[in-house]
Amino acid sequence: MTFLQLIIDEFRAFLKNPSVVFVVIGGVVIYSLLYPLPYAEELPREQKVIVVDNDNSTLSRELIRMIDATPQVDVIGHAISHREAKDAVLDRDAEGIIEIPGKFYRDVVTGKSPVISIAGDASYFLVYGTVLEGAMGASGTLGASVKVSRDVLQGELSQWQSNNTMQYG
Amino acid sequence: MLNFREMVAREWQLIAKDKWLQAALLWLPGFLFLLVAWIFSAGIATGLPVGVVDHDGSTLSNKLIHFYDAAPAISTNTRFSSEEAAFDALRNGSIYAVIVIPENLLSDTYKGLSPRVSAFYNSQYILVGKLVHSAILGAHSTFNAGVEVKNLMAHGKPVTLQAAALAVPVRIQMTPLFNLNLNYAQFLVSAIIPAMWQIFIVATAVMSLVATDREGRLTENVSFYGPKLLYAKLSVLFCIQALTGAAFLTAMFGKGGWAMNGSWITLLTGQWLMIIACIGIGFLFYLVFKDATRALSFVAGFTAPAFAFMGVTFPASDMLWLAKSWRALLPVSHYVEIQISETAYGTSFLHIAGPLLALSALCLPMLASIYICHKQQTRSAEEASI
Repeated sequence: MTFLQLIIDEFRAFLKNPSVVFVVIGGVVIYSLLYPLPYAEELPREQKVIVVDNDNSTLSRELIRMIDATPQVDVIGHAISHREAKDAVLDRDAEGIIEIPGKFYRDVVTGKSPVISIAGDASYFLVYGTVLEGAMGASGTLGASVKVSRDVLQGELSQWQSNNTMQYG
Repeated sequence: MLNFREMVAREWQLIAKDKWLQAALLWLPGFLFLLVAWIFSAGIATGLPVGVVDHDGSTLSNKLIHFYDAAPAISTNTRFSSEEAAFDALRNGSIYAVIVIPENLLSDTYKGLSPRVSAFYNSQYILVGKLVHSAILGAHSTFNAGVEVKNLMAHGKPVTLQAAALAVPVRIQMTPLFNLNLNYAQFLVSAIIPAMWQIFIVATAVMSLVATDREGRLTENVSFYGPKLLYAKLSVLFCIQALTGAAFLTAMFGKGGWAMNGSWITLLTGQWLMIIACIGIGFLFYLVFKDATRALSFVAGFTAPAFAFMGVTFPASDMLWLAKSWRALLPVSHYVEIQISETAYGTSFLHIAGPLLALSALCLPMLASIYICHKQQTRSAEEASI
């Protein structure tokens, strides 16, 4: 019996055993289809967030629209109180809460820099990161636009505004 | 003919004799759980090395570097004189990011020319990349706000607080709910262990039937005892797995462990349903395939990718329907939902009715296995009477 014959015999024995064929060939094919399946969407998008708007002003509504417009966050509705929003998170209807303080608009205009609180479910890191990314982006943009309009009102060139701090990229 | 108690005793003897089954039931899961816990024992990633190329070398650039260094996630103690050297280090993995500070940072900042600090981070490591990115971004915006406050005060805004408000019109307070310090160990280990455990439960259920098949021929046993054989096996396997499950839950969420806000009874109910469902799946695989290799390869195919489908690392709501349906078939994905709801949210029974119901539905393979055994018993009884 030559070496070549041995190899051919080995192949024959391999192909005759269905369970080995299933593991070696079928397994690879199934795994390569199955394993990437959960990640097929690649990026988590439009994470559901519930808003508690204690201000109900034009500016707070604008902020909510801006947050909703980000690809990361989807505002599913408004809650009257913090408790209602919390229930929505516990029911897994929402993954995060955005709470806008009362007198938000007044504080922005009078330069008191109000605090928006964002809470995300950190039991799921990727969900948390996505909600954070979206909300941070939107409020950063709102902050910048507030700054620009205030500077224009005070007679400064808006050009100056975009030029006075370091950029990060 | 053995009575039920003797059948249970026979199962224990079977385990005592079969060294492999013993390992897969007792010390192998324990060893792997400890290994995983040890790997992630640091919990929170801190001091990730980041390289700095400082072309300016001024007091301002030094201050900026101090701000980066003050972020707990990164440490900037590696300085490079050129970009090439820094990128070489980034490529060979000794650092996770490179921050390049341009020449004239100080003078450009004073002139209001908005110098550009570039940061390059290795996002091949998604989680590390995200951490480094947010640490750099956070340090940078704090620094920027400071610069702008000084600028505003130099332009005649008298009060620091007012100047700060003008620099940052809207502030954000971010709260990570349920895992307050973003602990990686709590996030990953509490999900990896049930995923590995599921593999062991299903595999040992198959191995237990294999052991009987090797010893005294399974068909003979089934025709003689019918579903009673499965009941004996189930009671023994269930006891061992329930103890294992209770042990790792106590280690993770017991006194001194991570937060446990819910009820232990609900959590254990979920766990027990999962054990029954998994053992049922193992039984069914072997009763259908009647071949150890084939049944175990199906077990591997079914349970091994479970971690990806659990929806912990990637949100289940963003999966395609095919992935969602595969996920629905895996007992562990429903169990993990219960575990997170109970330990983190501390929700009531009503909130987790969905996953509990799904787990109960996944006990169907157990009923199917019992039915198969029952049918085989009656058939052989009929044959015997003829």
